[in-house]
Amino acid sequence: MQKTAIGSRFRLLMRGTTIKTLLFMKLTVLLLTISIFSAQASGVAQSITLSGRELSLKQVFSAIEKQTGYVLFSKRDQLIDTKPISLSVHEIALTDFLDLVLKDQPFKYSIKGKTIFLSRKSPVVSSDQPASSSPSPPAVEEKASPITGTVRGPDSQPLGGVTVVVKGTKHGVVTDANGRFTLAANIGDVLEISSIGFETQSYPIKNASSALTIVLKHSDNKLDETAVIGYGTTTKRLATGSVGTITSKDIENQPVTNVLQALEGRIPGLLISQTSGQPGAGVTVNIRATGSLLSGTYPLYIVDGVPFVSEPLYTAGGNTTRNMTPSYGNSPLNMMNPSDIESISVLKDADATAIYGSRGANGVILITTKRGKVGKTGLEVNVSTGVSAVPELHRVKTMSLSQYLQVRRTAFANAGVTPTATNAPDLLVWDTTKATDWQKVLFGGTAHTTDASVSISGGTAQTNFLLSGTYHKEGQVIPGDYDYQRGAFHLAVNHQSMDHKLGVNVSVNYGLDQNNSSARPFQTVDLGGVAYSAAPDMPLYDSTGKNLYWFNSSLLPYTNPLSYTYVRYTANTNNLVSNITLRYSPLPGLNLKVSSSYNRAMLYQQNLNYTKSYSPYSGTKPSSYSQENYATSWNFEPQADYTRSIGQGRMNLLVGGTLQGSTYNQPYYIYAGNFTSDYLLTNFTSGGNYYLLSFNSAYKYSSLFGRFNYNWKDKYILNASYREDASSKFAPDKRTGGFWSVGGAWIFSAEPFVKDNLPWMSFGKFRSSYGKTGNDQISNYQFYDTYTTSGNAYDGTVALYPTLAPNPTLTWEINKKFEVAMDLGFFKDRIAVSAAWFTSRTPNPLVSYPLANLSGFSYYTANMRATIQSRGPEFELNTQNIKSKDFSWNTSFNISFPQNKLVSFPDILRTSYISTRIVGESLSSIHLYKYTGISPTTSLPTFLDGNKDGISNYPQSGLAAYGQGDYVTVGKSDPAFFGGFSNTFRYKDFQLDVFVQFVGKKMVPGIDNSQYTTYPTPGYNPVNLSADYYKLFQQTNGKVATTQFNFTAGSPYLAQYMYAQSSATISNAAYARLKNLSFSYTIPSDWRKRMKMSSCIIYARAQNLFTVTKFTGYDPESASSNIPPFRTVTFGIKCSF
Amino acid sequence: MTSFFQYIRYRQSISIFFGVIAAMIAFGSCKKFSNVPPPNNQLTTQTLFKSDATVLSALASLYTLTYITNNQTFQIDLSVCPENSADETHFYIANSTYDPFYQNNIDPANSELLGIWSALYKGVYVANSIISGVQSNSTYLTDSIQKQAIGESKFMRAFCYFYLINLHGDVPLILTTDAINTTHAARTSKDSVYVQIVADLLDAQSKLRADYASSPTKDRVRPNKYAATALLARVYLYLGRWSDAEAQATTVINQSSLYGLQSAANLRNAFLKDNTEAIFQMDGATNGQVYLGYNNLAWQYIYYNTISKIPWMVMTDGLVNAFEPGDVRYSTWVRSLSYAGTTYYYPYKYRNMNPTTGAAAEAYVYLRLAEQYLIRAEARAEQSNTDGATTDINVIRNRAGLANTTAVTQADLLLAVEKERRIEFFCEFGHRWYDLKRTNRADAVLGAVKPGWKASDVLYPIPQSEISNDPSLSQNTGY
Repeated sequence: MQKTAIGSRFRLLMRGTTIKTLLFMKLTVLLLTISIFSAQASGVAQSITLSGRELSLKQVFSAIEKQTGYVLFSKRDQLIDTKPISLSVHEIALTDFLDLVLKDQPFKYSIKGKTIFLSRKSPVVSSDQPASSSPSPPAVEEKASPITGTVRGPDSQPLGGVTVVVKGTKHGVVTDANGRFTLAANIGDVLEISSIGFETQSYPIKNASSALTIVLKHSDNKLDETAVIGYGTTTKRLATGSVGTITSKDIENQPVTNVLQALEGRIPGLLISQTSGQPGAGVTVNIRATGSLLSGTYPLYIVDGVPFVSEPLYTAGGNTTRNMTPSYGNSPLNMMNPSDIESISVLKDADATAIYGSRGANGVILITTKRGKVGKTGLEVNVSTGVSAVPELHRVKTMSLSQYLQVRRTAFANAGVTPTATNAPDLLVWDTTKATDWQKVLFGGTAHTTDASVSISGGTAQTNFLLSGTYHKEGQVIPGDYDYQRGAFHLAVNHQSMDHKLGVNVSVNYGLDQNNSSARPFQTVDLGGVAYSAAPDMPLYDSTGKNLYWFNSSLLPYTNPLSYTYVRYTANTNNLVSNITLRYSPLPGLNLKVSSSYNRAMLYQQNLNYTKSYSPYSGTKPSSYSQENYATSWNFEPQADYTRSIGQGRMNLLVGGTLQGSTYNQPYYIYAGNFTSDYLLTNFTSGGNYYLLSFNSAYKYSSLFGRFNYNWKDKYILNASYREDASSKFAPDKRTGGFWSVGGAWIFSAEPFVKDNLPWMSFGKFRSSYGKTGNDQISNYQFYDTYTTSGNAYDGTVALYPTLAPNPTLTWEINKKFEVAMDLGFFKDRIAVSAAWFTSRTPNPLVSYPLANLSGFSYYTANMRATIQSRGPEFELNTQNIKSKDFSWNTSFNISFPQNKLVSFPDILRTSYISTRIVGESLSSIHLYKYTGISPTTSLPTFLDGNKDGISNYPQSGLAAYGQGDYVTVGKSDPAFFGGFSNTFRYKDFQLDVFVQFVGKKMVPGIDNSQYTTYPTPGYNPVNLSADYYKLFQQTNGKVATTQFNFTAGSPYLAQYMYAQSSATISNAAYARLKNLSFSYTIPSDWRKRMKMSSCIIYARAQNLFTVTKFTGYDPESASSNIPPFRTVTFGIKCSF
Repeated sequence: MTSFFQYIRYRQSISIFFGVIAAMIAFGSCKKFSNVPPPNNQLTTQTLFKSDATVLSALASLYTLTYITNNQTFQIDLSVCPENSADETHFYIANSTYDPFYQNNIDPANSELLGIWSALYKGVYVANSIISGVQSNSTYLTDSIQKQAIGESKFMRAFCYFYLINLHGDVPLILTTDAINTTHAARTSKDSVYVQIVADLLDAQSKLRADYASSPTKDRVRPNKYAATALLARVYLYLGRWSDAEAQATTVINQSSLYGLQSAANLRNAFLKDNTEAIFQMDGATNGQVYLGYNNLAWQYIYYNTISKIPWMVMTDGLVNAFEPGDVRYSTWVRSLSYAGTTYYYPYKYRNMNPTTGAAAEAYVYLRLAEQYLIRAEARAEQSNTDGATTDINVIRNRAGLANTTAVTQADLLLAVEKERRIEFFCEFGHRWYDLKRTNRADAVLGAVKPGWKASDVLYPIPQSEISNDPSLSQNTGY
């Protein structure tokens, strides 16, 4: 009945119209507030007024509870054969009242806290009776007396939600927020106290009178490490979903700028790649292979409960305004200081992500910052310094000077053109005996890094805090005065009331960084690309040796590489993430929480092109660009969770809601040109001309979520969640949607048949989940029928033009995820194995769907009837190979095989995807001409006639698979597998961590491809090429070289042009990298005591030490012609006082 | 197992818990929360059409659209493509973009073809959007603004359809803004489209001002009553409604206080912004202080290859030879240079290639007075008013420093008009191409000079992607 009533109320509310709902909402909150407070208010009274005839004890205790808040604790059928009572009392004290009521009953009572315990008036068991070792028979329950106690953690913080059961019975309770419990038990009973992340303890009851204090130890089993999940925590043991976790231990060991880099190879299914080695560069993150065609593939980042911008600030909010994009991209996570992070959880399957509803499809990355520690106020200082450089093995071998000159001369000869000082300065003007190693000049430098952090932490169980400040500085390997600096401070304060009912947590993270680099906005490559292609005999300076050398020709693409040192790019970022969480626990097991947070990230970029950055022959005057972007987001999340025992299981219910508002602003992007002086560059109005572009957009989001978790004897676990979202990205009637998941786990190692027969199997769990999540990563306002402006004016009037073809039916991409997994532990969990297999399908991907232009637009954004799938297995192995007092050796290994596929796309022939995607193939397929060797007749490269129309078509018009052109699938850029292999050795006070990351068979265009789409044909321009190209030159007897621009069939120019877009340029980017090596020594305690330190560690760390690969470009990870990642070695000391 | 009293105790928890749930539901289902206003650079159509100022801004986009959507190629292609298709110019070397037009062998997938088509239909969309927006919000808008908005929109709609049907033949007539559904539109007969064009121009004529005062800069870069009249005169001429054409042309010619031909000495001025001969011009767009883009036609005709210095677009020998000796138009509007023994001639009507700041001195001329004389001359000739026709032809000839025409018969006069139009309007948005087509002279004239000429070449194909995205569209014969 109760259920039905609630159900109908639920439906009634759901039906309510908007205005009514608003009113209702206010009213409900008001009523709710009153009911909570009135419950408390009535609890203050301790006197009873009651009159009645033939009242049952139930009615009497019910009245007591109503009037005083004191509740009865007893067995259910204890009150069955009691006598009815008739009485009339007015404001008599509770104890007097109880004496009166129970006078003729077979009970006596006791009061602990606000609970009344009844026990039979029977002979009391003497208190000195020894604790029985065998479980008490059920009959003993009759003699049970109330036992109270408090459970605390190792830091003496009270632990709520801990299960306390009388061993061998079904009788158990859960501790309240203060860690307190009351349980009827007998002397001699053994209490079993268990909680996630702690070692289970048994506690024999020796005497009934005193309150117990039980301290739980953290479990050192990896299975019991706390893992943060959406709106809660779990452990690997009890999780029903797929969650990968990395903690501060692993992060600290790695000298990285961006915390995402520390995740590389650590978590199954998570693929991370850096776009460039330069500090502050972008990082691409992919959880379990992309499942989307059009919409973003960014995971959802949550920092301390605050949704964090997931894409570079200059594109956030759908910003497609012309803006300054640094050549190596940008990652917003640069703004988080890695040492402030306590843990990162990566949520992968439906069970873990569905609680994030329409934003969970690409996975969720939860970042939790550090909290204060209870105890003596401690000071921790950590200082390190190191050096970085691009390792030699990342260099690309280019043609030597003599090879280069040979190719150039042949090109002129083949074209029948005489080299002149104008068209061949490299042959006739420059010193052809002196070669420059451009890679050494442009990124061969050594960078210095410095890190310093100080943190103070301390407090009591009531109030504790952590305050830390860090500074990070990283130099550059390119010529010029460039660096990356970051300062950050982090504050976390926790407080709770004496009775632990009220708690407040505050955390504030503020970071600011400044990146001076040669980022080259508006360029797709950084100096790495220039270093590769500059002619080996190109002079840097003129004859005076002071000024940059320039060459006057409008014929040749010529830029002095060092001119980039006269471009000043600066990016400044400020980032504030703050959160306040209030908790109120009115009743045992019930927590009411309100979390509110605010995030503001700001990016200011400036690019100054000084006079010397331009060729003096061009006559171009200095210019500057400047841009500001900020994203502001606030978030309000009320939540309630309730935990109680039901039968022998534990139930946890969570409900909550989210209101989120975000705004994205680009107040200005200013271009100013034609300055008369370099000194005026920052004052835009001094420019001869200038213009401005701006952008803003807003996003709002509201949702309601709930989760039900039932854990029966830590054996069977059911987890179900539901979320209903409304996102402003969709039209009002397409705005709300429901997302859900069901996950279950069976810990079969807890079954007797395993315990009895397979003693070596310490843990065995089978889990599975299925659910539906969404993806709303499209630009804002796609459904709105609007006019927009870019600031362009006509006839003195700024023009507003129709923005897009609005699609009022636009809605989320739905993503259905299924997972089965098995987690096993052997030999007391010294060997732990996990295997998971997932599949995820997107049945309505958002695509850019073409319209006939006669409609006024060329496309609109729509959910299409197509299916994208990603699936694959993931494996993880953790072993404790050696575990002794002085020496230990732990190994962990993980490998993932995620693959995506375009399963179906009925309409693909009508869309632009016809030239990029093939149904049945990976979304990352690479389509190029298929190189078929050198023609014996023409000595030129030949290619497969993919569409069998008799010729290898140029210009390329499409994919052979659709009969459009000659491009065929020659590889795919997604790896076949990837993973990591980590070993930790500890000998006495020494520790060594070795971590190897590997990525398998990533077929990507090598550096030649990127070169040739810009500079065609060996010898065509004074541009250098890879040594591999010299081989082609030899194979073709030099025929491939030409200076003649000629696209006719059979011409060397065309043959070479197609070669550059052929399978010949595909390179195997498989690699294994010694990603991290960390060595530390803990100074022995007698030394520490002398120096009054509680701990002190000296360490040496190295990143990207060694790479094994056959890749022909700079670096297989970024697979671009950007500057490769640095090898960094740092030394440091970390001490606590 | 649990006692009733415990149950009561739990019920308290549960009732609070479910109370919270109820509150959450109320909270979560507060859909209004997730309404966001559009960003500060966007206006919803509901808001936009409720204010005079924003309607004027929308109206400005009718003219800037060509800059925004088509990478500034619209002005070039609307002129260069038909003049290549006729016998006026060709690209100086083999060029995959424009040669197919010159060889009258256009691949339906040609990108320029799609560019012109798309820009013209974009203009139609904006015009439709403004017309419906203004009509349904008439209570909010000043009467004069409504008239201007509807008048200019209808003018531009007629303008776009005029070029669409003359390039492609029957085209879908779209008068609504429902893009997702109009993408399936079928072709409408050319005659029906002309009915709409005439209706639009008549309405524009009745709504637009007689002067250029609705332009904030008071330049002739907005259509006025006489622009509508001049275009209507051209449309009537194309439709063979001779007396109507004559009447409309006369109306324009009679506005002597507003319009006058440039003298022979000032012929260059005919392409300057706001000159007296101009009836309707389009200007470039600006952003802040910066003039966006070059004068694309000047750029196209004058910009040269670095080595040879040959301009991109060179005039055909036929066109160069068609000039009579002493024609001031030749000395003013044609330039030449020699490279490797060959002389290349190129149009020099627009010459201000690279205006950097502020408004350009030149503007694209779409309608000018000289055309009205030649329209009337042709209409009069067709109506056997040979004297009237001769007078009008001579106005143009004399102005160019040439003697009176020697043509006397109706047939000769018509040929004289044809020739005069060729010389007067060379490289001005394809007059020659349309003239040869509408007078059914294309086969005779172009067949003689173009190898492989087919009668079906008078129509451009429908762009390939349009047919694949709109299955109701059929292709023109010959493609």
